[in-house]
Amino acid sequence: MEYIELIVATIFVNNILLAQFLGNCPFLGTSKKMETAAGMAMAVIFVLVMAGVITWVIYAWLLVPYKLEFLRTIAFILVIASLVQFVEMFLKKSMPALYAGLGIFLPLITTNCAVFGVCVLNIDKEFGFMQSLVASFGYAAGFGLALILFAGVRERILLARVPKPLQDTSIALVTAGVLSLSFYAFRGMV
Amino acid sequence: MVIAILVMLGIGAACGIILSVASKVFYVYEDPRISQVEYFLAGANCGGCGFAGCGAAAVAIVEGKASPGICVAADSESAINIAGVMGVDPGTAEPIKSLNTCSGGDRAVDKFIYNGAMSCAAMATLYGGKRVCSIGCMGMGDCIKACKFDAIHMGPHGFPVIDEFKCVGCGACASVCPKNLLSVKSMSQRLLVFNEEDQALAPCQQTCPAEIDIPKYIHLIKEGDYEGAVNTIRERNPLLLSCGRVCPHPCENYCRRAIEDDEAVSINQLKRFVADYEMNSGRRYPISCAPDTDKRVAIIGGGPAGVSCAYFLRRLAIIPRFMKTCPNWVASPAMAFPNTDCPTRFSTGKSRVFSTWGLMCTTTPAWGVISPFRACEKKAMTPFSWASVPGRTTNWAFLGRISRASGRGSISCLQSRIRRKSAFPSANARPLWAVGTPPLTV
Amino acid sequence: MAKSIVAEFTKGLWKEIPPFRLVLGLCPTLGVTTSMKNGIGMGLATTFVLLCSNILVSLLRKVIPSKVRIACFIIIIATFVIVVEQMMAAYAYTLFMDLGVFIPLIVVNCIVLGRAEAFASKNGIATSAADGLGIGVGFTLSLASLGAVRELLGTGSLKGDIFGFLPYHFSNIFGSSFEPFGFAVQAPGAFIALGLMLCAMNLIPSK
Repeated sequence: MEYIELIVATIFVNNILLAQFLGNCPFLGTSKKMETAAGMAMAVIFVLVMAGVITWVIYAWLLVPYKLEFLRTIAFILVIASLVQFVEMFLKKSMPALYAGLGIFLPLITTNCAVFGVCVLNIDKEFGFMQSLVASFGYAAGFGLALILFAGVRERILLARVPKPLQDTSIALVTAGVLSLSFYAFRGMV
Repeated sequence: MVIAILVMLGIGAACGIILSVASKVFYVYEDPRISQVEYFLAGANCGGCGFAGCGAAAVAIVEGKASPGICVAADSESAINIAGVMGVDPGTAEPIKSLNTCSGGDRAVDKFIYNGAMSCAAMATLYGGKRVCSIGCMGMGDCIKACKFDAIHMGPHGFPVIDEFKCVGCGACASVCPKNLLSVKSMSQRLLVFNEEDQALAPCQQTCPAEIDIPKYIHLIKEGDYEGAVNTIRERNPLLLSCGRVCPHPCENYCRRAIEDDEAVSINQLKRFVADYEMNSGRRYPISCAPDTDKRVAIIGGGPAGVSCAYFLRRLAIIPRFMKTCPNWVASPAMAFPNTDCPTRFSTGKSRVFSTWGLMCTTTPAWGVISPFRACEKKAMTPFSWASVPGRTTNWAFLGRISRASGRGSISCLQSRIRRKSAFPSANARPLWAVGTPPLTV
Repeated sequence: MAKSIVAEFTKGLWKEIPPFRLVLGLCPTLGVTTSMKNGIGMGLATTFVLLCSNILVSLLRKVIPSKVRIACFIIIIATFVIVVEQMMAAYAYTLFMDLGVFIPLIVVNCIVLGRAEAFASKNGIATSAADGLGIGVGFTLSLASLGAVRELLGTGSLKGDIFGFLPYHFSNIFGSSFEPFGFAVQAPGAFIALGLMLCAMNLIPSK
């Protein structure tokens, strides 16, 4: 029950894109087409779950015992960057089909603040191992959901007549605001 | 402090070791040239080359199944770089661009309210789309979504507009359009196509002897894009300044607005206006030419027909050279249309355009041996026979030969068209095209 | 030389001002601008990191091998982020708590990495420093203005201080009958306010 609550909280109530504002650069960048958005969402779910678990392990078993919590930022970014590289090599060798789908998105994930942000949030909220795992998945699924919903809306905006100054990023942000408003309704659920 | 350094070193070393072990364990052999070739490709994964993405194209190039210049999105420099990697000759190709032939858009009213999936493919399955026009653009923007280069946008009137600077001619838009309205063609392919009588074009455009896209240039003038209008006219007619003054404008007789209860649009005056605008602006708007070939053509006479001929040949990358007696370089308008108010600046302006194209003119008396009949008569020289000059041919024979050699209909279409319509200015032709198999230069 | 330093500095203030002209670094822009105070604090922290990382990257640009340059840049940036994090925890604790996760997130702010990669790794120290400072000040101004707009609409007043200095307090700017528009300081308001400000910027020609 606790985990179900956590999943609902991370996907809907504290949606990482629309309520926490993490990972907004890829949110605007890769949401122009549904295909790209879906690829990016899958890649983020894949990497984020692994990164959430590994950084939790590093933090709890390595940094805390030696009282090195202040090194969190640099240690995490190092681990995430290496992880992404590792996943890329691993996929290329053992799952070429999956690599063909996700490959071009993987390098983008290193500097995706959603991944890094979730790892830091897991620590800040003092989650245990299982909680970190579930929360990482929930946040990533929330990222994917919001991204895919937004891509669907943006494909429609493409056909609408938008006043010149509002075009491109500007109308996308206002749309994201409306989408965020609909997620706002989940507030108070958990 | 020491522990901090040690831990960071430990993490760094562990990551480094894992990655280097992984790079050995998960090593996949690749020809090193593949990554080099891929580096020079555009990386857009557009599929315009016919392969599934840039990676596949790079593999094909390295395996010798594709030429270094297949990437439609990259510039010629990258083709040269790839050729350098592969050690072969890059080869050149004329750039191709996408063109949307439908400019109806919102002008066609809707027959029903469509609430289905926002895609042309879906809409086309439902009674051929919501608009009453069953052959035109449906405006759902499948082509916009298909474009990887951000080169197509929904225009203000409900049909997509192509940005020719961004378009690389990958053909993705053409392949998704359910109405087959978009086509990807090179400039010379477009130049050689003439309107068919069964094509549903605007009456003015169908009537124009030069087949200028009149609705398009009037629209561009309305938008204030005079440069675009000039280039639209010049696509079909290089002498817009003089034609703007002397054209009998049959287009205006067929203007729908005249048949309804209004006056015809002053199409010709608008042409004159943009032509004057270009002349007075002091700038000459460039127009695309096919990559140079080594073919040479001599043109006798620099009147309207000769100039048009040179213009179109130059755009098809055949370098023309004028042979004429008049010392005044391209004196055509003043001489051909003496009773108009043609500005005298015209000829100098025109000559600047022509010299930027690398057209050459010879007004040497040596040519008199062959060319001006008058000279022959006065000096009572040996009567000159056309047939006796080696390598000489008339335009009809020349065109016929090309159409037979190429086996394609476009040139013969051009030829029959000229015969049928006696179109101004490209026809009306006195014998003035000559081609030499050994280049006929003086 | 002096002229180009000035030019590098001023381009960040208008021509390439993030996140309006250079649409990067949206997460902190949206996340922390619930008040002008937070906006300025975040902006200054980012400016510090930008300036220091630009200088260090520019100093080391001939030493760093190009294959691992991105990793090196990230490590350099992460180091300065930790410095900022520790400094703020020590001297501006309430601000540190307000900004929360967004302070360590400067590491993955594309503006910082982008300037290191696109500018500092190719230019001298003085111009890189000017570039970092200009972009940073521009970013601070953007965050401050967005924060001010949202705070004004959301609460009707502006109050706070800049790192404990320069306290300012303007209450009830719209008069006492103004009903605060709470939406503006909530999450959806961030997107819409930024979108509309971007629209306003687009109305002004960029030249």
